[in-house]
Amino acid sequence: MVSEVIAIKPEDILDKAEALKAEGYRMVQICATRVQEGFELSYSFDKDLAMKNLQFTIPLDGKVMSITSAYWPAFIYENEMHDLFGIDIRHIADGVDFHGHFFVTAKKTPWRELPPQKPAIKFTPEQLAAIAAAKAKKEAAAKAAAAPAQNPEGGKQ
Amino acid sequence: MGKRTIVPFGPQHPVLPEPIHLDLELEDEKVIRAIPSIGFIHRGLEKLVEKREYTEMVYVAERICGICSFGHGWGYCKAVESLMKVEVPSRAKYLRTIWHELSRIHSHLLWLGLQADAMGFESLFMHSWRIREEILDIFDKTAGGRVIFNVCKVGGLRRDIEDSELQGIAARLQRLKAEIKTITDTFFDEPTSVSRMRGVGVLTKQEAYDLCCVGPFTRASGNVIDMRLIDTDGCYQDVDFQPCISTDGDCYARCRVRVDEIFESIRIICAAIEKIPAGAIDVPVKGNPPEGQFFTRLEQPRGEAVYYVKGNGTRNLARLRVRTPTCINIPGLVKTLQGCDFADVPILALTIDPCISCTER
Repeated sequence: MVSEVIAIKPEDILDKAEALKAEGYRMVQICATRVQEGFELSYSFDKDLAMKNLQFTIPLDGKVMSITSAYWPAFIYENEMHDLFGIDIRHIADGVDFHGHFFVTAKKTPWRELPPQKPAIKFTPEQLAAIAAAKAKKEAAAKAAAAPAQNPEGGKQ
Repeated sequence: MGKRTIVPFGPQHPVLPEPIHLDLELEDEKVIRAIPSIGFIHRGLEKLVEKREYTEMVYVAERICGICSFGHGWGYCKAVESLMKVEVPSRAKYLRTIWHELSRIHSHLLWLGLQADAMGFESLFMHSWRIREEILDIFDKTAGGRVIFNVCKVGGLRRDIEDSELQGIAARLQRLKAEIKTITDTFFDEPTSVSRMRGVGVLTKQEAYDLCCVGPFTRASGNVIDMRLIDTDGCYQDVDFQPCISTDGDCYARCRVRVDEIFESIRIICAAIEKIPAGAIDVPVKGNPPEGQFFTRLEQPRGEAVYYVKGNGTRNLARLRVRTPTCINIPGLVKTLQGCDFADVPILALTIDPCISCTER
């Protein structure tokens, strides 16, 4: 499955999208990822079942041009990025710019905190010791069950 | 110019099983414009990667959707396995394909029932779902669950299916073919059913492509877009998979594509059962997903789904993104609603086979 990732400048996204549209590419998806520098945006396109991904990073308060003039269905993702992550998308096509009302979530948006860098689930030393003890007990029981039964007097009856 | 009215449609509506809201701008009985809004059941499942380890996220991925549950688990595993460069054993690839195609049959039978219900054809709805029960019984027997399977894991599968049981599944599906044909013929031959679907909501090949539609929605307009054609993580290349295409682009064509796909899925499953190799169903996976990213795609019953994973070297992924088929079919739905009769809105909304719980993740 071919999937190519190409780094571009944020200001080039609309030109690149228009060029891909002219080449007959279909838009597949747009995704925002929170990274140290701000947001990493990935735009995926497909032609003949081969995928091309354009990627760039913008700062938290950065702006990005809408590609709805080239790919009208992009409004779904652009409104999603705006509503959930607070990304400033400029010039979304008329009639499909929902101005923050496309997604109605119970949790307050935008979600801008960085993902934790360490595993969220971590055992304490006491928990690790308890796990090791339980494992050793289980192994000992299995070993005892597997061992052949012996006559306490020795030898066979 | 007729009288203009705005009718709110959904998120709770008798013929709409999914919580999408449409503001329908009407001129007399014709829909002039439809404005969608979603977000009523947003669950934030993608964000759970921050709390759940990459091995645990399979369970979360399977809960994205109750209909294509197995496919979401597989798609997630596929993305993580590619990121971690894990090669899954051949038997696991075959079994994944078999379960996934069974899910497709189940999904399409469910859709046929809903479509019949939307047309007011209650007995056809019940018969569609009666046959679907047989597929759910196979799930129950092989995976232990009727909706959530919990059989997929990073590195392969948790459960095998005995060869004798596989032969039984093939025989059962062959028996079901005649029953499925009886009900599907009713969709295509019964005059009431035909009149509700023929020529309704036409989307041309170019329109469907420009609107980025996926799945049976775009294949019914003649676009050959099916991720199974390029799949290397299942056994589609070994069973001579052929996509089901129609060219009329109306509701009837969408129904035709889904029915053809049921029979194609049965053929794929039977061919896979004939060729399935013996051997292991999983490989041990050690370590954490490395720093890096991977995009992959899977053909779900409703169309192409995209899975994006980004690793940061810890046991938690930095990002999981799932772009579901309904998400990108909403613009196509909005387009087909323009100019339709108000009475056809439920039929049209159903022909994209909407799954808003997938879309909201």
